[in-house]
Amino acid sequence: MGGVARRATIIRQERSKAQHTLVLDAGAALMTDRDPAKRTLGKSSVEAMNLMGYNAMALGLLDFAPLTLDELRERMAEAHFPMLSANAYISDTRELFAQPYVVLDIADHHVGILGLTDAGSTPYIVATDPLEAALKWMPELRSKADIIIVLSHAGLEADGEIAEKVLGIDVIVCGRNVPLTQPRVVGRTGTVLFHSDVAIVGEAGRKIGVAYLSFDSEGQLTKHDWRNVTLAPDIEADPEMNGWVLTQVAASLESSQ
Amino acid sequence: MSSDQPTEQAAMKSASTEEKGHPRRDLLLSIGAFVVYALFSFAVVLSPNLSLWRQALSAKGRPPASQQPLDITLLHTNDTWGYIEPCG
Repeated sequence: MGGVARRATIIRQERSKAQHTLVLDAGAALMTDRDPAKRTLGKSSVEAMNLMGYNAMALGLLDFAPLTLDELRERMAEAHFPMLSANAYISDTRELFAQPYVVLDIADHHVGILGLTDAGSTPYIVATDPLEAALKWMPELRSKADIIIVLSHAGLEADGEIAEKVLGIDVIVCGRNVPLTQPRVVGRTGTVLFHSDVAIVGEAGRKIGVAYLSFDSEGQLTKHDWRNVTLAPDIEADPEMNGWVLTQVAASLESSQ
Repeated sequence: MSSDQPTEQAAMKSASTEEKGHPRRDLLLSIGAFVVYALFSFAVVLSPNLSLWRQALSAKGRPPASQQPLDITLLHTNDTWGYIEPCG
């Protein structure tokens, strides 16, 4: 299951059918235990996401943990998309490490995307309460965007609380290993939560969620349909992406000799 | 015996007066209790929503509405861990 070449095929197929697409990641994308990501300190992951045309990514603590801040800054500079966190602060300076949100213009709408990191700390970063961060940044984001998506690695409990207590969020894309296999709609606010994959050691990147969202002229979410695509062997590998994978595998083999 | 009658009559008159005062006092107490109950109920019902209402009141307002509805296909991943090859 999985593989970026099959993922790229799904992305390409959906792009060919839709006038407007967004490709987002809810965190823990850069590196863990496997080459080439481990060998390249996440550079290969950024390259793959660039090739697939990702529009934004939330930073999880797992993205911070293996890297120094300078190494992560290098990855962020290499990325063709913003890496977001509204609640990750540099331990020494207490400054926000990354941009908290981005606003993308799609047709004549403004889509705001807010990033949230799971609360906790690494040697260099302190990630504060995601709910407080959402409450802090949402007024500013609401003044700039009529459609708001939260990309969150905060965990389902935090995401559920944010959906209940923070006004104006249309969608929360959830990360981490959480038990959410179908979209959840929070009645009080109308926020919809999506989640795709539960990763375990040796098995990650096996699925991609595909949500079809309809917004009215004022940016209110009026309809959603969703499916979770398992990147099974019956999905053809994208040739360009597959070629890139082969070069990465070859480089890893060469470096291990 | 006869000396008890005025006292008894006075007691009965006093009791009668008290009986007349009770309905008004009871009404006032009832109204007061109802008001307290209503305020408490409102507080219970509204308290989870107060934060949302505060957010709505303090919102700067969304940018000018677009003219057209919008459909977006949102593709999303999470916890891909840098894995690029098929696994599992």
